[in-house]
Amino acid sequence: MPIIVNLDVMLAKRKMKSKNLAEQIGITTANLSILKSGKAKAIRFTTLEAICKSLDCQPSDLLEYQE
Amino acid sequence: MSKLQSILNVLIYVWIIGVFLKLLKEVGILYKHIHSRIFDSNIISSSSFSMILVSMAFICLLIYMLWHLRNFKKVVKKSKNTSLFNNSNYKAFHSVGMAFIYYTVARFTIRIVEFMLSNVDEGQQSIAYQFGRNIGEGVSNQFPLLIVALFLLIIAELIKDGYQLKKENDLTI
Repeated sequence: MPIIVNLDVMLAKRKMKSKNLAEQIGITTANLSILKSGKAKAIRFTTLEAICKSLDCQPSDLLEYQE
Repeated sequence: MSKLQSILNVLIYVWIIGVFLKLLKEVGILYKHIHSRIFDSNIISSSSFSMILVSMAFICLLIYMLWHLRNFKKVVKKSKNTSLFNNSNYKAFHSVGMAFIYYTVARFTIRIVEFMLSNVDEGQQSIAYQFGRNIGEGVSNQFPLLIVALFLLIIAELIKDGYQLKKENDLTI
């Protein structure tokens, strides 16, 4: 899929662990792992909003389009 | 849902018993054919080899049906605990649907062959009339099963679609 999820980059920048982020946004670590690995088919606006709020970033920091 | 599945399970059990009894009856008929073929000295009354073959074909068909019904029963039992939308359920419903169609067509063919082999004289009616009546009877007898088979195939497609949607939903974070 040409949409790349840069969640691990943002987590590294914010020095935050996946487990903490999962707890903050209210999803399981397994689902966060699916999102990080790019296996996810879709992302809900509510989840994206929660991630952006927790990591203090914009959606464009998390998602990238590559051909 | 589980109540419906329980009822379906009971009905499948009854169906299996019915097919099993039919199988026993057909084995009895086959035995009678073989017995008359071996011991009956009268050539006219003794069963022909083709009648024995028809009987054996019907027995094979009933065993095939029993095997598929057994598989179907397993699926119904298994899906009580897990979600109905999975790939194995799709395959099971599809294979049972196809098996019912094959059974219907084969049973109809055997019925026609059976009629052609038996030389029962039904009064003044012509052979063409008797043949047509037998075809009509054969079609009407197999029609309900054919409808069930098509419903099973439609359900299989619905399960397949549901499985795709479930997979997509599971991968939506």
